[in-house]
Amino acid sequence: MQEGVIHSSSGPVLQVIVVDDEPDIVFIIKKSLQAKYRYLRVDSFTNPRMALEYFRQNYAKGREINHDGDDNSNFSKAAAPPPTIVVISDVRMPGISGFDLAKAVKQLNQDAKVFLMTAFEIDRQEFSKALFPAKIEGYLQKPVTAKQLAALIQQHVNSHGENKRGEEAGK
Amino acid sequence: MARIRGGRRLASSSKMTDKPISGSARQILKQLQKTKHGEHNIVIYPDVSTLNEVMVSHYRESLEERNELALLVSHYQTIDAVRQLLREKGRINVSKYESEGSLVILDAAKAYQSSEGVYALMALINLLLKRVENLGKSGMFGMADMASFFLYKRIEQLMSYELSLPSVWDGMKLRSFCLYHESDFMNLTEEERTAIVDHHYRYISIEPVMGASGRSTHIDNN
Repeated sequence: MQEGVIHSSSGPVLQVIVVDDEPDIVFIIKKSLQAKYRYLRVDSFTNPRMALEYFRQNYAKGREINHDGDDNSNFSKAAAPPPTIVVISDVRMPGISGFDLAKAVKQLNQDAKVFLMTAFEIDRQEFSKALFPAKIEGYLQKPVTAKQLAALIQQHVNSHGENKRGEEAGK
Repeated sequence: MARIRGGRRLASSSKMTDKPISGSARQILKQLQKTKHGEHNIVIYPDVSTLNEVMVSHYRESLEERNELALLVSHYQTIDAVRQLLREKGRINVSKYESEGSLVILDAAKAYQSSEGVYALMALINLLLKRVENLGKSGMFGMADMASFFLYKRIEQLMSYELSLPSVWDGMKLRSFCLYHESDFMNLTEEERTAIVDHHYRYISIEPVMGASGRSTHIDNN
């Protein structure tokens, strides 16, 4: 898949949800992703409860993907294959931590790809215990660079393309 | 404008719903200025920006006017971010105070959730109280965010820790504030909240500074 193209004729192939209680961080991540990937859909939240509710309403397994609300991107809904959902969330957030959010997201849709980011030390053992029984795709050390984000997104765009080719070959 | 709800040793849950006393950040600081050594207090804050506004000024007062040894156990901000905040917003000579040992900044997850747990922090506080004498300080002031207990879902340990501490540090030159983000605190049951509040000497609940938050929105798409 060509870099920068995150949108097929039948709809978006990748949707990103960014959650961090610091508005500056979500703004920077969102702008950074959109600068590189023009048609990438990015939803961003500073309140993890709202993020979870949004995910539940739109991306829970068994639900039709909903592009309503404040979406201005005019994606086509017709016959769209399910997009890959990437959730990038901070760990330390008041009310609902990144661990809680990740567990809930995985419970609602185990195909969603979840990455946790933190400015603090990443203690994989402790984090795995806190996430149990959920498993996530990876951790990002803050400050997250545009290069790291691009690599992460590209990886999932590529894997989406491979999955799609695999599905088509199996038909 | 920020508001403060204050009172001494609340005895019942009904007190928690008392109307807050309104006041500016300066008025909140005036409430903190009234606190004395021996007090073990609780502060509920609405967001980090509002807490910072109060915290920075009071750390300056503690270090520069009260001549106290100051401990800060931070959860939502890294140690470096806190240093920068105190230095830039508080105009506090952080490196001087840290190098002489009168300012100690810790990460709450490490302080409370290490294998030694809260006992290690209590041991550190005892050491710091000895340092108070050695450095000729008037006493010790500390603020500690309890959010790491929520992060790791250790509510039982939080309750056990809080209820094991006295409301008054009898004979100790220590005034301390347990900090709770409002969203974390509301994750506790009413019974737990009441028990915690009742176990502190003074109860302060800060309302948001207008326009300081902006932390509860879905940022628009595209």
